[in-house]
Amino acid sequence: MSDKNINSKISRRDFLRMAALTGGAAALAACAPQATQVATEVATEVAAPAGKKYEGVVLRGLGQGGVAYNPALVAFASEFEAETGAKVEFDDQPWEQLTPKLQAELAASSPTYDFFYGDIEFQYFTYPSLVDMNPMIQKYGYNMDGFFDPVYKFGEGIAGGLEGKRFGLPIRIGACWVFYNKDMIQEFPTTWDDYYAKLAELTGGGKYGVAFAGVAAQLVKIFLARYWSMGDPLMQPDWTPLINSEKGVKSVEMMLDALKNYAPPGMLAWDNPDASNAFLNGDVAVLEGWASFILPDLDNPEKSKVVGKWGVAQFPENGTGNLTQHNLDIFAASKNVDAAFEYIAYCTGIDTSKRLIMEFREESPREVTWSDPEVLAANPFLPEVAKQYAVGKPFTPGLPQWLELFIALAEGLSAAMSETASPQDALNTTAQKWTDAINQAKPDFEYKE
Amino acid sequence: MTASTQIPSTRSSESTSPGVRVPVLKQTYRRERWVLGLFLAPSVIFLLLTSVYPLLNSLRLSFYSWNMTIPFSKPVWFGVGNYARLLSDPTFWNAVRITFFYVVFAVVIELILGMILALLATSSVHAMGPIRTILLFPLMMTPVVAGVLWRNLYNSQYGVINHLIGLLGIPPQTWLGSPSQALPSVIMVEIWMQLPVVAFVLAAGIAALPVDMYKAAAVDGASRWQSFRMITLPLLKPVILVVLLLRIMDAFKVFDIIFMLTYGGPGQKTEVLSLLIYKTGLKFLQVGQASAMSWLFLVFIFIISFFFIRELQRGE
Repeated sequence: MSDKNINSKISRRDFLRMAALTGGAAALAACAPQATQVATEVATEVAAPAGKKYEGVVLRGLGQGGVAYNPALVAFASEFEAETGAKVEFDDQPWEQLTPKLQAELAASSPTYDFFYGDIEFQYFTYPSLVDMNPMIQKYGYNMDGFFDPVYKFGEGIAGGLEGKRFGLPIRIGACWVFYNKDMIQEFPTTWDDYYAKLAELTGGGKYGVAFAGVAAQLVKIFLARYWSMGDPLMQPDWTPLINSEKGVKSVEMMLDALKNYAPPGMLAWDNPDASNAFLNGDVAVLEGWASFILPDLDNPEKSKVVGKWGVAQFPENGTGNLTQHNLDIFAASKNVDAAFEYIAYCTGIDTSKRLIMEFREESPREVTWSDPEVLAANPFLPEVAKQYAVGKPFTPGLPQWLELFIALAEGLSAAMSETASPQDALNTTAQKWTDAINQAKPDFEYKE
Repeated sequence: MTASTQIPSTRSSESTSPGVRVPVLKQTYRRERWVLGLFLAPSVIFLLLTSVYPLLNSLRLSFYSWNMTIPFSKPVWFGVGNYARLLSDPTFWNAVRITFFYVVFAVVIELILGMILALLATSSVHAMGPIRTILLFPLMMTPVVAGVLWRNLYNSQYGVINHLIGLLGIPPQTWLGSPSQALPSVIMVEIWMQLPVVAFVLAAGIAALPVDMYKAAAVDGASRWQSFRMITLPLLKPVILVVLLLRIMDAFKVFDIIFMLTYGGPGQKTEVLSLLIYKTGLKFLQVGQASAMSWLFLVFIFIISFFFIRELQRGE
């Protein structure tokens, strides 16, 4: 065939036609199941009858990234696979992305994930799509002993409703701790008046009494520590907000006093690492903050000027700031519910709880582990923290709309702290937003804490 | 019909029986149109699915009340209720006010500084070579990284900015933690990031201007300022309008810098519309309300874009 023939046969029109056919074929090929996928499926089916209990099963988890127990889940997954044959995969997502990701998962006709790991708050709207753990706990004889009290009190049901149903098992518990510099404070005050007097005494000469993260979302725990110490709940039994009461205003005024008079300037823009750094630098006497942001560095001489000089205390007057609990849940649409439960039971069991603390520096929700001599020797401050956890409360309006309520409070507090609204006005606005949000689907049971 | 048959195609006539009159060109064009349509179809379908359908669906949802966090909830017809509620919602108007403030100040300052830099860049100043390179640095940085960087720079206790102004005897400022300084601080980061874009586009426009007019103006004794005002600015108007249009539309959409620096705080002093829409739609899952906000936002941008495009067309 000569060049001339070739040129005359492949005209522009023919080229377009050929390209269109090629494109169409490629599109069809893309729609068809891929050979490798088919091969994998066949291989899985073939492999299924082999020895181990869950051989060939792949568990897929969706959850919160950037938490201390993420490596623990991975390590436990390897051990679980060696024992049962089930492979576990993880999709860690930033906290910010979890709500839309969960919504997409719940709306999907073919679910991707078998289990979830993250803040208990996510259960508040995902619970209809989760497996009730209590029958599974009974079926497998899972040991529910030795958890901190709030795990029993707040871990069952949703917002005080759905009693008798438990939608997740905890792998971590946490609350805002009070760290103090022992060089500056020998004995930590037990009343708010003494606490503020101490802060006033320690502020000056480039040193400050207290630091905490001042960005809106982090103010909630600081408020709750003060508000709850006064004994009132956040709402009345009929879900009418109480936060704009006299006690609420007093709590905000206390925060404002701390921010304006005893804290480093510009703290409203600080997030947790900034506040932690101020304490590590020895610039502040007290840090009100999450343990996970500071605990790994406190005794590291390269990062800390307070090595061996720090202590932990409970908030004055039994205050407690927003207890968090991270759970592992199973999606009801999972085809591997039993395998998922056994994996979750392995991760949250008594046997692994000590490893959570010792190997992964995670706050195990099993109180019984905290009194283990080896654990205590390595973490002598734990008994003080345990006292705080024993009285801890999560953000109790655990409704599906909880995030709207939480952010409304955060923004109200931020407005009051930046003095763009008075404490009373800021809390009134928050209370109104709470009422609006709750009325969208008002629970048919009473609010309780 | 017959017109096409009067121009026979060699190839077509070869393949048809003698005596049969075939509309060769029409057939050819029809086939080519079909093939072209086939090529266009994937993009059109993709755009329909990913842009047009969601847009229309969000318009539909803006007339419904739907909080997706509530299990088993369904959209409930709400008419113009979402829009009516927004018009009396102080949070929404606060976000609108802050967004306009942000856009106006950021874009105006970028344009003025960008013009100065563009004039310097096209002048014969020798130092401009390295300066042009340095100007590119912010462009290489993603907004999230820039946010983290500036967050540290602005730190009231340990930040470099407070250290530097301290050398000049200025007391440390609280920057992002201050209700009065937070928005200007965020605007400064926006200007830092976008100034090179403005400067480079304007510089390209200035470089393309005819030199003859400047020579004639110089012969007539025009000063540099007069040359700039009478020649550069009028001739550069289309470029300036394009820059303004692109920057305004882009500044309206600001999200990542504020997300990283202040998350709308302190209070709601830096809460722009895009952040409010994100929170309402993707955090609180108030889908109807967020859709209504998005559409009002779209209308704002459309009106402004329309004005600039009309000006551009008038210039042409």
